[in-house]
Parts: sequence; structure tokens; C-alpha cells
Amino acid sequence: MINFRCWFILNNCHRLERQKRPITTKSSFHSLPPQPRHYALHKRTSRSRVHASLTSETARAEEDRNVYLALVTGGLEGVAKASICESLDISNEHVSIVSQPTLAKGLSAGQAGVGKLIISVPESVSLESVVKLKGVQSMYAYLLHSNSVPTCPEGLEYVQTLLARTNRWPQAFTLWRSYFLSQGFDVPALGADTIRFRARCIRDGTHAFTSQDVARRMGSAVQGVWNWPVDLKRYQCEVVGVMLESSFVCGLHLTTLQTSLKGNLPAEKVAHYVAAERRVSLRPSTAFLLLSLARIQPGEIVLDPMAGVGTIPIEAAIHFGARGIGGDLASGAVVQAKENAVEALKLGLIRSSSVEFYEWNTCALPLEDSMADAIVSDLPFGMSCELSKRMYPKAFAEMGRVVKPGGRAVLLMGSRRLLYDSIDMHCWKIMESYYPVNIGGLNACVIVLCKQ
Amino acid sequence: MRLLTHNMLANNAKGVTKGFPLGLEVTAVETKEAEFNPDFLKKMVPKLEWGAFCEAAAVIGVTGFPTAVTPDLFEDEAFLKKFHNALLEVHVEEGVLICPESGRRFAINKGIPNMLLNEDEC
Repeated sequence: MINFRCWFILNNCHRLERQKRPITTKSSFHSLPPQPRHYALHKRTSRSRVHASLTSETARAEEDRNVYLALVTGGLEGVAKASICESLDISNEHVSIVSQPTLAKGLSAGQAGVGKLIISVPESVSLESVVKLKGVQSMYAYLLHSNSVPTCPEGLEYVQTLLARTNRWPQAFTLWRSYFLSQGFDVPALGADTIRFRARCIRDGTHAFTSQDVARRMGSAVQGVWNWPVDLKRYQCEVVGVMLESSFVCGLHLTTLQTSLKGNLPAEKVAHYVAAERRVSLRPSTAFLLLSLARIQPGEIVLDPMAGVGTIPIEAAIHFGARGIGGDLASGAVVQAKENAVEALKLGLIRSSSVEFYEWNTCALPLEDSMADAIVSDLPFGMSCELSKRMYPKAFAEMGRVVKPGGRAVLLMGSRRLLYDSIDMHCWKIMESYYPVNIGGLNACVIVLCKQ
Repeated sequence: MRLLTHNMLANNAKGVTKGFPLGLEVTAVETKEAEFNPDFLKKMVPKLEWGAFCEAAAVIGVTGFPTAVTPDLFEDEAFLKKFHNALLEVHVEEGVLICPESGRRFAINKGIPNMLLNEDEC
């Protein structure tokens, strides 16, 4: 079913006041030592006024490796990590999960609660294979990460100093530049002061400053180091920071997509989703991670009884070689799902026999018993579209009927309580406890079931 | 909707005990070429309800399938081609699916079967 979550996702996007002054306020730099333009950044000679230890955990990156920052669905970092290690053929220790600060009970982490992975790969691994990784929302050339940003006003200075002093600028810039060169853009080498850039911050938590303040300070830091001109609209390089309470990660965005300046996470642009106009359809990367969790094998039948625009069945067919079957109550969504499937077929991503869509009601599926190997679905949740409690038991009973014994179900849903209230334990066995996840800033959970 | 799909659908309304196979009425079909994959076809045979498939194939104008599939037929190129055509290439764009027990009709519009039941049926 389609999700109307967006209506109530509280993204921390503060009103965007167009900056009248360009972000060249050097005044904020008074406490830092004067830096020559091509300052050798790894020579850390003096300390800043902000006394907290400036250990942005950057030192462990080895010289001959490229380091990326990947944003993934919050809560499914472990699944993403396993999949990344496997597809790049790198060992576990080269992908590290940035730990999330613990929040007060019941508090949603917001968009900044997105999962963050730092991936270190040998230079022999092609940039293309990293940028195209499945299960990743967006990819960045890694700059820095810190877990000790003060939430008081001094935090701004702290972030600026971190960004001005990180010794990863040359590597990150080289990585960013090779990406844009590979996309056919002409990008000057490091040291040129003609690169138009902008800084952007996605911030959540209690801070004494706004995300615009952080972005402004990030901009000042970049200008202090490279003297690049700011261009909020026609920028070439985007410096993105994600701040959640005292944790901060930062990188150079590896995309040619010009995204909005609001404090939102960038959308995923996927060629075969032509008809995904519905504002909050499931991210393809999240669909991929859910399917990974269900351990889909080639040739299996994957069913999504509430498929919306068809993301899960289509991703199952493309990346897992499965037969995806989906349906929805909303006829408009089914038509869009078909259009997406036709586009994927045109692009040669799937075979014509791999996906099918129907208009149906989850509480009375027009399918034979035990026909599916697995169910993977994004159940509707959130205030405006909660499946009524009355519907959940029926939906679970139907899902149980159409999955073969031993088949799996991986479900993304709003709360576990509804599951325990409505599931028939003789039919389903709960496999893993559950994964608390962050979907676009909203708390949700992923459960894994096995048909008895 | 292809016959591959038809073979999986059933009427699951309240009170219906035998909602399979659904009868088929066709007003518009379209043939779209699909990749010929003998291995896929071989794997599909045991999963299909063969009788239901043959009846539906007759409706879309492909006749002459044997009553049962024997292993030697998998070597028969002509059979496989015909099977491939009926199962995967012919799309029912407009038509109706009919429940064998209750006679309930489900419309097929633009290739999408509308299997939605009314509140009182489920």
C-alpha cells in the first residue's frame, strides 16, 4: 500500500532564509591560525580554542585506500555492511558502522538518524562499483566523523575547526574529482579556486544552533581552506554534513544530481522508477536491504501484498533473480507499478516473466495456498494510514496461507505491538527479535518471520 | 495478464470453497515477444495446474496441448515454442475472469486483473 508518511515526517528543515551575505565571514576564523591556501592539512601544529579533543576519527584510514561515506537505512546498517563486504569482496574490518547516539526513549532520531557506514577500499576497486552499491541511499567521499560535538553554541566553532583541519581533504577531493571526471565533467585540480561549492547540513537533536548555522560554518571552513566561491544553486561540489546530537559525519557528495537545499536527505534517483511520483514511496535501497534480510534466492517467488508502485517486486527481480508478484488496493498505484516494470524491462534489467502486478485486497488475496517462497512488504504505517487493528489479523492470516511452509516473511511496520496482537503463533514463528529502523526520520521496525 | 498469472489466481471470497481455476473471457489480447528460456519452462511445468492451463490456452486460441506432459516432450522444440508462446507471450489486455463456483466476475483492464472483493465478500 502506498505510504502517506510524508505528511507528518518532521524533518528538521528550518526555514531557508536566503543568505544576504555570502558565507565569507572571516570573523569566525579569528581564533584559528592563519592558513596558507594550500596548507598541508595533516601538519596539525596548533590547537583550537575549542578544547574538546579534536579526534575526528580520521587517522586510521590508510594512505593507499579510498574512503567513502555511505548513508543507508538507519537500523539496517549490519545488513548493508554484510552486503557491501560481499559485493566489493572486502573484509569486515574495512566497513565500519558509525555508532548512533542513544536518544531519550520514544524520541525519533529524525532524518539525521540515517545509518552511516565508512567504507575503506583498496585503490584497485573501481569507483563505479562503489558508487553503484545496492542498499546505499547516497555515497560521499569521506571527510570526517566525530562523536564529541558540543551541543552548546561552541559546537559551531568545533565543527568549523574539524572541517578546516581534517587531513583527509586531499584524498576526499581526489575521489570526488575522479567521480566527476568519470561522469564526463571538466573539473579543475585541487588548488584551483574556481570550484563552486555549497555546504549543507542535515541536523537532528537538541542543539543551540540551527542546521543553517552549521552549514554556514562548514562553508566558512571550506572557504578558509580552499577559497572556493559559494553557489547555492549551480554548485559543482556539495559538502554534506549529518549531525545527530553530538555525532557528526561529513563528506563530499558523489552525485551529479542537483538536490534541494532543504534539510532533507537526498532522494534516490533510479532510472527505472519513472512513475514513482508518489511522494513517499519506499526507497529502492531500503527495499534491497529488506530483500537481503529475507535471503531471496534466484527463481524464488517473492510476494508483496501491499506493493504500492512495485519497488519491492521489481528490486527482487533485478537484484535477486526472483519472480516478483505484487498488488495493491489502489488501482493508480498498480498502474504506476506496471509502468515501472515496463521501464525496467526496456532497460534490460528484468525479464518479461519476472514481475506481475494485480489489484487486490490483502485481507483476501486471490492466490493459491503455499504459492510464494517469501513475503517482503512495507506495511502501511503512520498516523494517517495505519491499517486498522481489525485488518491486521486478517492480513497476517492471508499471508500465512499463501506462503509455503518454511517460507519467510520480512515486514517493515510501524510498531511491534500490533504484530504480537494480531499474529497467529501456530502459523508464524518470529525468527529474529526485530530491527528498529529509521525510515525518513520516522521510527519503525522490521520483523522476520518463518511460516511453521 | 498472462496465462502464467492466470494459473495462480483463485477466487478467495467468503463461502467459496473451490475458486480455482477461474474461467476466462477475452476481448483483447496482445502478443509481446519474450525471451525463450527452455530451462524456465521445464521448471514451470510441475508448478502449473496443467488442465487449467490447457483450458485457458484454448480460450486465447492456442490448442492441441497433450493432456499430460511427459519428459520426452521437453526435447520437442515445437512443443516448447508453443508452450512458451501461450504461457509468456500472449497478454490478455481486456477480458473477464469468472469464478467456477459463484460465477463472480473479475474484470481485466489494461492487462491488470482487478481481484478486489467487496467488503461483504471477504
